Amino acid sequence: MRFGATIGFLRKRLGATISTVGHALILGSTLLWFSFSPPPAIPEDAVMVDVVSLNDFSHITAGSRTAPKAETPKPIVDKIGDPQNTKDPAPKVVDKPEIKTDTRATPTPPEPKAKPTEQKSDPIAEALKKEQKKPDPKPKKPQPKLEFSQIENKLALLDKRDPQRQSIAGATLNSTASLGAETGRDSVLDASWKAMLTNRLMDCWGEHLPPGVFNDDTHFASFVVDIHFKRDGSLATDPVVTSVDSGSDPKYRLATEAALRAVRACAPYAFLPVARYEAWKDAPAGFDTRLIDTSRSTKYAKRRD
Amino acid sequence: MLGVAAASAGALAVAWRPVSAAQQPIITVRPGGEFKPMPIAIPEFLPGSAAEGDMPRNITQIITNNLSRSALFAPIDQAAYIEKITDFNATPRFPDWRTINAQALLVGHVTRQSDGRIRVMFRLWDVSGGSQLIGQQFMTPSDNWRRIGHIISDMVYERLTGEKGYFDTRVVFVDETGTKEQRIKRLAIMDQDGANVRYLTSGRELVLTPRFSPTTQEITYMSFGQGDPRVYLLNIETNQREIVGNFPGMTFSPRFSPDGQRVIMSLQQGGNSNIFVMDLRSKATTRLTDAAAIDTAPSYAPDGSRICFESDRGGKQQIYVMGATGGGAQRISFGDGAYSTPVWSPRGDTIAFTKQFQGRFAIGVMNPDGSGERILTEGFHNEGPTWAPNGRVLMFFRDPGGNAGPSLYTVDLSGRNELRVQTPGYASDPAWSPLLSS
Repeated sequence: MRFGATIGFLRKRLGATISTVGHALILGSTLLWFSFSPPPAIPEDAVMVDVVSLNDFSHITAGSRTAPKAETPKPIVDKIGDPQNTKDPAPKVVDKPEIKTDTRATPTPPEPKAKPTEQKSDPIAEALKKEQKKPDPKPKKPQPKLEFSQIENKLALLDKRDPQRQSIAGATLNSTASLGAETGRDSVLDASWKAMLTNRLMDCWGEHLPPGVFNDDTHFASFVVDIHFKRDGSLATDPVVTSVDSGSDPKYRLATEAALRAVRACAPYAFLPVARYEAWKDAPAGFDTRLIDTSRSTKYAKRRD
Repeated sequence: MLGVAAASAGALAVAWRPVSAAQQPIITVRPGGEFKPMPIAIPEFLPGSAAEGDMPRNITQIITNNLSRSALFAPIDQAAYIEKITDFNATPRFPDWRTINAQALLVGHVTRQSDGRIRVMFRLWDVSGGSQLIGQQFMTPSDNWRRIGHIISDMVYERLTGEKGYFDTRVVFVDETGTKEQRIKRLAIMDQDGANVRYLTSGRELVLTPRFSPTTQEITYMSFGQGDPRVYLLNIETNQREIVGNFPGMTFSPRFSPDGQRVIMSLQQGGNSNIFVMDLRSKATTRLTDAAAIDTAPSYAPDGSRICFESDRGGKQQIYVMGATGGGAQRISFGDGAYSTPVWSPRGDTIAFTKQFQGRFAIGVMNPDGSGERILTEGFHNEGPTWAPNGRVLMFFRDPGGNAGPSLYTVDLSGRNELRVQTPGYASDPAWSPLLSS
C-alpha cells in the first residue's frame, strides 16, 4: 500500500512537473515567435514626386527654398530705359510694305500656266543679278568713309541710347523660391550632357555596327576615340582612334571604322551646353562592343566623377 | 559606367589588347540603337571601250542585287548621284557623295583584253573618312563575268561587315515539274541568286535531300531508283555517281561531316531507323544510335564534335544532341509541337529546324542547348532549312498548298528579310554550297 501511495504521489508530482514545463515551453515559444515575427506594417504617408525630364534636370539652376516668395514672377525681360526720351527709329522699321506685296503675290496661283514661266525665269537668279547690279552705287557712298583707322568716326556710329533690354541671369533670376539645388550654379549639369552625348553616340554606333558580329564577349573591341568639338557642337577635327594596338583583326577594324563613321554622321551635337564648352570641347570617348559593363575595376572606372 | 579595356585577362589574351592610357575617356559608349543598312553608292562600272557592251552594267547590277538582298546594305539610286565617275583612278569628290548620305562608294572598270579575257578592277572607298578600303583586279575568261560580280560582292561584304560573304556560292535543289500527281523531280544546281541553272539528273528517278560536301564539288542525295531508296554520292563536275555503302534496307537523309571525309545517314531496320556514319575512304561503317525509335536527319556541329538529329523516342519528333561517337543523346527541344530536320549552323552557335505546330510549319533557330528558340518564318508549309556558308542566312522551301508547287526562299537571322529565290519551275530541298572561291 505504501508503495502504491508513493507511486500515486509521484504520479501527481510528475503530472504537475510535466504540466509546468509544458506551459513554460508554450509560453516561451510564443514569446519567441512574437519577438521574431515582423512588426505590423505601418501605412506610410504618400510622398509627392515631381517627374523631371532629362532636359528639365539639365537646366536646374541655383535656387533657395527660404527666399521670399514673389507674388508675381518677374519677367525675364524688363524695360529699363525710357523709350520716349530717346530718338527712336522704330516707327520707320514698323512699316512693312514688303509684306503687303508678298500677300498680294501669293493669291495669284490660280493660273497654273503662269507658274512654269516664273520657274523658268528663276527668281533666285534674277535676285542675284539685281544684287550684283545694286552694289555699284553703294560703295560710292559709305565704304570710303568707314576706314578702320578712323576710330572717331566709328565711335560716332555707336548707339548711345540707354539699354532697353536686359537679360537677367544667375542669382537674380532665382530670387524666387525654387526647387533648384543650393549649389547648382551650372547652367547645365555635368553628368547630364555626358549622358546625352553618350546616348547619342550609342544610338549612332549601333546604327553603323553590323548586327551579330560582336555577339559574344570573348571577342570584343574596346578603344578610345578622340573627339574635338566646335562651340556649336560640330566637329572641329576628324575623330581619331587613339589605340595602342588596333590590330589587324577585321572585326576590330570594323568596330573602329563604324565608330568613326557614327561620330561623323551624327554631328553636329547641338545639344551640348555652350556654357560648359570648356568641359566638352575635347572629349575622348571610350567605345566598347560589350553590352554589359565588365570593366568597373579598370583604371578608367576610378576616374568617375 | 565609365570604363574601357577588359576586365578578364583571359578574354583579353584571345584577340584584343587594352587601349592606350594616354587618353582617359570621359564617357563610355556601347552599341545601342538599331542597325541601319549601310547606304552604298555603286555607280555603273566604267567600260574600257565600247566593245565591252552590257558587261560593265551587268556586273554592277549583280553586285547591287547581292548587297541589297543581304539587307545589310542599301544601294543608293543612281539617279541621286551628283558626281559622275569618269576616271577609275581619280579620287572621288567625297563631299558630293556625303551629300547623298553614301557611306561607301564602289567604283569599277571592265576591259576586254586582246586574248578575249576580261580585266575587272574595283576600288571601295570609305566616303566619310575619304580613304580607299580595298582595291583589287581580276583577269578571267569573259564568260566568268557573273562570278566576278559575286566575288566582288563577297569582298565588299567582308570588308564592311567583318564576316565572310556568301554570294560566290551555288545551291543544289530538287527541280519539280509536271502535275501534282505525276511530278518529275530532278536534281539541279544554280548560283545562289538563281542564275545558271543546270540539271544533274534526268528525272527518271525520284530524288530527295541533296546535300553539299563542305570540301569538294560533290553532293550526296537519296534516290528512289529500282528497289529500295539509296544514298548516292555525285560529283557535279564529272557527273559520276556511286552508292554510299551497301546496306540491307533503305538509307536516307544523308549529310557530310565537316571535313567531307564521312557521310552520316539513317538506315531503316524494321519499324525503326538508326543513325550510321560511313568513312568514304575506308568504307568503315559505325552505328551511332540504337533506339527502338525513328532516329533520322543527323547534322554535325562545324567542329565535328557533336551531332544533332531528330527522334521520336520520346513519343513526338524532337531534336536531340549527342557526341560524334554516339551515345548520351540529350533532348534539346521542349516547345509545343514537333521538331524536325535540325541543321547545325556553320558558325556553330545555332541549330535551325522545322517546327510543326497546330497544322502549320515554321522555320526557326535555337541554341545548341535548346535555349533561345526563335521562329523566323511560319506558314502552311515551310521545310528543309539550309545554311549559307557564313551562317547569317537560311534557305528553305515553301509549299503554298493546293495545285501549286514549292518555291525556294531565303530569310536572314533577324527573320525580317525574307526573299524568294527565282527558279525555272517548282523547287524544293535546297542545299547551299560552301564558298567557291575560299
